[in-house]
This record gives sequence, C-alpha cells and structure tokens, in this order.
Amino acid sequence: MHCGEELNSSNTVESEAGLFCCNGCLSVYELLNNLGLDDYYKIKDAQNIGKTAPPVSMEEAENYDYLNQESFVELYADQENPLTMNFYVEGIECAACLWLIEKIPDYSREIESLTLNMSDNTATVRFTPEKKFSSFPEIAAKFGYRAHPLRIDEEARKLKQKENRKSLIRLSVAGVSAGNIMLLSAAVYAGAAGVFAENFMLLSLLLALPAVTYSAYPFYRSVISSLRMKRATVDIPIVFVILIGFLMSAYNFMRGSNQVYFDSITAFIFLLLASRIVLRSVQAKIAGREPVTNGLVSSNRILIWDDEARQYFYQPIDKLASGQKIKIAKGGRIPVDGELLSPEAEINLSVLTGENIPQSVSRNESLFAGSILLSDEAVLKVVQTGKSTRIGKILDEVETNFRSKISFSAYSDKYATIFTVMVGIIAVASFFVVSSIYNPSEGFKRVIAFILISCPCAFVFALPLAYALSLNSAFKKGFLVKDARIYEKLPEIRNIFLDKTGTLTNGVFRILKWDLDELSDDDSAAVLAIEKESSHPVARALVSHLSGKKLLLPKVSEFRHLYSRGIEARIGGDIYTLTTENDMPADNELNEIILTRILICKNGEKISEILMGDSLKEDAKFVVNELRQRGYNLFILSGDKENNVKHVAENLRIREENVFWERTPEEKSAIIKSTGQSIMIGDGLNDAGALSSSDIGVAIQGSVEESLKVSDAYILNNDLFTVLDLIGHGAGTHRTLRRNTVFSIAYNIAAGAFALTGFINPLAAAVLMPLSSVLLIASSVYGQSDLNMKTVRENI
Amino acid sequence: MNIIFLTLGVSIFIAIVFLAAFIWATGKGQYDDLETPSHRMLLDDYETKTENKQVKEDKDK
Repeated sequence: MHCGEELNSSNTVESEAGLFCCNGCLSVYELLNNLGLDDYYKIKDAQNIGKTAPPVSMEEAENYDYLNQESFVELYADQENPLTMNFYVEGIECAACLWLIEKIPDYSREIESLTLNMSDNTATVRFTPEKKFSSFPEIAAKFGYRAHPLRIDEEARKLKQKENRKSLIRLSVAGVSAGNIMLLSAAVYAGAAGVFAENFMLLSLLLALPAVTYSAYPFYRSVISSLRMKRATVDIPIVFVILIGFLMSAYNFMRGSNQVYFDSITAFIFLLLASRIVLRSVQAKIAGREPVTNGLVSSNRILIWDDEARQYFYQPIDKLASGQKIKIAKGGRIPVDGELLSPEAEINLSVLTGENIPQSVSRNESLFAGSILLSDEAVLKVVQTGKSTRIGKILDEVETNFRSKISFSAYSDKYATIFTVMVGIIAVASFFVVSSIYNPSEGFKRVIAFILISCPCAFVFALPLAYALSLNSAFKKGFLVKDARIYEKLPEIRNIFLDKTGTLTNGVFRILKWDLDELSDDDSAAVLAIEKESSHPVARALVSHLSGKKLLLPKVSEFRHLYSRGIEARIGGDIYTLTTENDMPADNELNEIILTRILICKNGEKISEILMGDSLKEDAKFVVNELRQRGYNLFILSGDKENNVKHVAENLRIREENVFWERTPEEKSAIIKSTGQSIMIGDGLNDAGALSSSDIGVAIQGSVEESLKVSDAYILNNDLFTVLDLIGHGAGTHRTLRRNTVFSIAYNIAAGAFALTGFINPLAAAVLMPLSSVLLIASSVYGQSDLNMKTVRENI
Repeated sequence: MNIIFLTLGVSIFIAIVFLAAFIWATGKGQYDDLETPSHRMLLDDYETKTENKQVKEDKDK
C-alpha cells in the first residue's frame, strides 16, 4: 500500500490499516499517519504516480551520530552558514517525495528550513542553533529515504552558478536586441524610407552593439584561445560571420547604403547562445548522474586508532594518512591500499578482477582499496589513500576520459573545419571571378554577402541540439552515450559480440541443485546458522535458499574460515564443514552453468552436496532472437570453459562457428579486430581490450572501471533490452544528424549561389538565415519525437 | 508622424525594463533549478494537520 508493489500471497503483511507488501512499508505508513502526513498517498494518487521504490530497510538504517562530531561538522557544514548542510537524498522519485521531505521542518525542532532540488536530488537543510545535524538523515531514514551528507566545493559551485546565470543574461540581452531590431527592420523592408529608414538603421546599429560585444563575448574568447593552440573549432566561422557582418553593415550604414544585416546577425547570436545553453544543461544533468564517481568508496567515515585514547574513533575518511591503523567491519569496503595487520582475512576483489570468488590474505600482505571484507573485522595499516590508491588512479583516469569524451566537439569540429575551409576557398576564388567579370567593388560586395549567408548553423546549433536531445532521451531509457561517433558507426554494424558471464548470464552464484531432503531439519538449521556468519557470496545464496524454511537456529561456536576452501564451525557436539570442490560432475543434465560444487560434512562425513552456478538472464533469449531477426551476426566471446560456453550458445541457438571459449583478453580483441564492423557488449576486465578494439564498445551495469573507460556507451540498468533500445536510438539519431547535415549543405549551396550571382539583398538574408535555422531546429526536435518512442520492454 | 520617435523611445524603454527584470530574477537564482518548483506549486494545498503544527507555530514566532 505504501510503495504500490503488487501484493501476492507470499509477501503480504496484514495490519489494522490494511495490507502491505513488507514491514518496511507498513512502518512508514504508520509513521506518516501519526505525523498527519497521510496526504502523501493522496498526492501520489492525484498525480498518478504508480509504483515507487520500496523504502530502505530499517535494519540497514545507519547511525548518523557521527555527523554531530566536530570534525565532521567542519567538513560538511557550509562555510558561510555554519547551520546549513547539504545532503544527497536517495529514493526521491516523485512530487509526493518532494512534499514529504519539505514538510520535515514543520514538525522537527532541530530543522529550521529545507529545500529539495529534484534535478540533482540534493537537499539544502538549515538547522536550528542546537546543531543537531544527524536529525535530518535520521528522519529521512524513517520515511525510507537514505540521505548522505554532501561536501560541496563551494567555490566551484558558485563559479559554475555564476557562469550559468551569466550565460542566461547574455542570452536575454541578445534576445532583446534581436527582437527589437527585427521590428525596426521589418519597417525598413516594408518600405520606410528617408529620415525614418536612416534613424531606424541607426537605432538597429545601437541595439546590435550589446549583442555583438557583450553577448558574443564567449565566442571571441574561445577563438582567441583556440588560435593560440592552433586548433580549428566551430567558433571560428561563427566569429567570422558576426564580425564581418557587423562591420560591413556599419560601414554600409555610414555610406548611406541600406545593405545592413543587423537583424540576421543578432538573431544568429541569440539562437546560438540558446542552443549552447540547452546542450550544456543536458550535459550537466548527465554528468550529475555519472555512475563512475559514486559507489566505490561507499562510506564517508572510518574507525581510526587513536594512540592517546587507546581506542578507535570515527573520523572523516579523507583525514586518513598513511601509517595510520584502521579497523574495517565485516562486509565493509576497504577504502585504502594497505597492509593487513590481522592474521588473516578473506576479501572479494571483484572491482579489480571481475571475479566474484573470494581470496584470502594473510598478515602483512597488501590489500587494495575497493575490495570488500568478507571475513570478520580486520585491522590494517594505511599505505596509500584516496587518489593514490590503485583503484583511485584508475578512477581518476576514467573520470577524465569520461568527461572529455562526453563532448560534442568531435562531431561538429570536424565538419566545421571542412566547412570553414570550403567557404574560404570559394570566397577567394569567386572574388577573382566576379571581379574579372564586373569590377573589384562588386566582387567584394558579393563575397561578403556569400560569407554572411553561408550559415554554419547546422554545425553550430542544429547538430549540438539534436545531439543534446538524443543524449537526454538515451539517459531516460537507461544508457549513456559517451562518444557521439557511435551514431555514425551504428548503421554499418553487422556483427554483435557478447560476453558470457555477467552479460548473457547473471554472473552471480545461485543454487542449481540441492537435495534438501537429504538433510535433517537439525542439520539444515546448523548449516543456516553457520552460513549466516559469513558474507561470502556462496553463503548468501545458501542463506536465502534456506530462509524459506522455519528453522530454529542453534548456537554456533568455534566459527572458523578454512581460508580459500570453506568454513568450519561447531554446533553442540558436532563439527560441520562446508567446502568447495573443484572437480565437476562430467554430465550436466541441468539447464544451467555449473561453477562450483560444495560438500557439507558433519564430523568428517559427507551429508549433502550442492551444485552452484550461474544462470542465463531472463531476457537473454528474447534479445538474442530479436537481434538475429534484425539481421545481425551474433557471436559469443568468453574466457570460460568450453562446456559452459557451448551450453549457453545452444540455449540461445547461436551457431557453433560463432562461439569462442577459453579466450584470453588479447585473443578476444584479436578476434574482434579480424571481424570488423562490430559491437562488443561486455562487462569484465577481460573484456576491456575487446571493448576498445570493437567499433562500438558497450559496457553494461556493474562493469569494472577499465571497461567503462574504453567503452563508447554505458548501459545503466541490468537489462539486456536496453541493447535493443540503444541500437534503435542510434539509428534514429543518425537519421536526424544526417538530415540536418544534408539540409544544411543543400541550403548553403543554393544560398551561396544566389549570393555570388548577386541576387541576395539584406531582406533575403533576413528571411533565409533564420528560416534555415528554424527548419534545422524543427528537424532536430522532430527527430526527437522519433526517439521518444517507448522502450522495447514497454512494447511487449 | 514624429510621434513614431516617441513610441520608439517608449518601446525601447519597456524592453529595457523587462531585460532589467530578467537580469534581476536571474541574479536572485530563480532559474537555477527549473525542475522542482514545477512540482512544488502543485502541493500547496496539502498541509500537515496534527498537533505537530505546534512546532511550526513556535518557529514562526
């Protein structure tokens, strides 16, 4: 009733208030009622908000007391307003959430006021002078949201805000100037003459001044810096058009001629600035949701040993320095590269290796940041912190690449350069031709008209706009496009390579076969009790498998990790061992991929056996079929063993000659290179090479950073359907971009020819230039409606 | 027809007034977040309706 999840018999919780899917929803509902906030549900209904995420489970609720500590307050509170703190709030989805969060100050004595920004999910909270900063995340947690304190680089944020506001003001100045000049020019075109025409033109000149100087200033700045770096950018033809157009018009006005183009130029500046603002806001939105920057170091605090007090204290994580002694709890992520001081520990290194199988580490061996501690709490000595850790370096590089890749410059600069050179050549050539036919002054006049009319609009705003809109809709559908060039390449793709583990299969351990009847209830209870002690992925799978049974848990003693082999524990008088075996049963009658076999022994005697493995993703079959029907050649490229890979291929009906197994990363990329015209879809570190050598590399959610770094697109959800969307989307965007380019070339040839033959006058320019821009924008937006189609999943 | 120059002056003046208003609004941060206010305006009708209101009234004083 709270989250809108459909009820079924297995999950229903009954209470006086009605039926709920889980206890979390029930307690949130009760809390809302008690506080008189039950309008939340009315708002949800009124706005037709269906299913929302279930609340964060209460057991996981963190203790936020640390936020009241001096060292954390210093870190997170705003410097200017020490009572204000910013939070990132997880789980905000709809207007009802907004209402609920913004009502908090109404009944909390610790919180003075609060504003929530839904575009980046941040809440700015002002506290009362008691400075109880932990109160906000605590209340939010009760409602099922998770709030993380945010450290905002005040200066960078202010600078960015100032920049954004300034560009809006530049846009508005250009708008006022263009709009008013248009009114005046309309009068002149309609036939105003004499003293009126003269004064109108003078006024136009004055009105154009702020647009040409103030509004267009960023273009001048960028051209100067790009000239210094000897690089051609789209801004060069822009500045060329603005300056030549303005100076020529001013000169003509002084001479008393009516060849003035103030209206065209100011409208051009206005449209240009508008398209840039749109593109930037979309990019900012996407950059704000970048998957790379969050998640790895999940916690903001750490237990550090204090020599004087002789105990561990929570400290902000970036106060860590090498040489310090820290303690990590079981299941926690290790935030630093360090040396183990505890005798032994078991860790999951999957961030770096893509392997989910735990590794054991003993005293004085190194641990890498990002790994998860699976065994009991461990003490380690810090060696490297933050960006100097191994994963930190990788992340740093990924981030720079990611940011630089998410720009449009590749596409538009390429065409703009060609365009500028072409216009230059034609201008010079036709000057001589026209001069020799007529006279130099006529030649000069026509060449100026030609330069003005040969509008680079397609490159300077229609393409970026189409691109921004496309990025935006891609983002809504669940993927990020990092490199615009994929739009050019997509139509040529014939071959699709798929990685197996993690791409076609779930990549997680699951119990495939376990004969529970072999075990007595006591033994099952014992196994469950033992496995609950461990956070090994295998153990978690076993626990969830057994939790359906109602078992009375016995007390576990002498729990011990048999490092890298399994675990052992004593229950009552019996010793249980659970060990993984590497020999696999030869015949596999199961329809799945067997990865490991686990033996359960009681006092040394085998009492049960479990087969665990990986299974195909539910949607894999459908997506593979669909891709085949669209005429793509499908391949499987895996490092896994022959049996497993063949098994998957058979299931998906992929032809045998297209299936590759036991391939090293190098071989994978060689295969892709020799095939050509290919997309690679993968996730693991061993796919990184293949992703970069394919024409288009698509990394899927949960990929390791290396793979993210070299991929051209990134799928944000764990849904193979998104691959189909990506292909459809790419084709649509490509159509729009091509249409814009073709149209723009046609326009320029036609208009250029008119200008050079002397048919273009200011009136024609005033009509043609904005008209071509508007047509191109319309084409981009129209292409967009194409892309806003439902996703493939919704269509089923 | 000289009245045209007066109307011209008036129209430019009005344009400048609106431009100034826009610049003022931008400076005040009205365009910093374009998403949330569109939701917020729909929610004014829903008020908290319990004894907790006390807290709010205390603060308002």
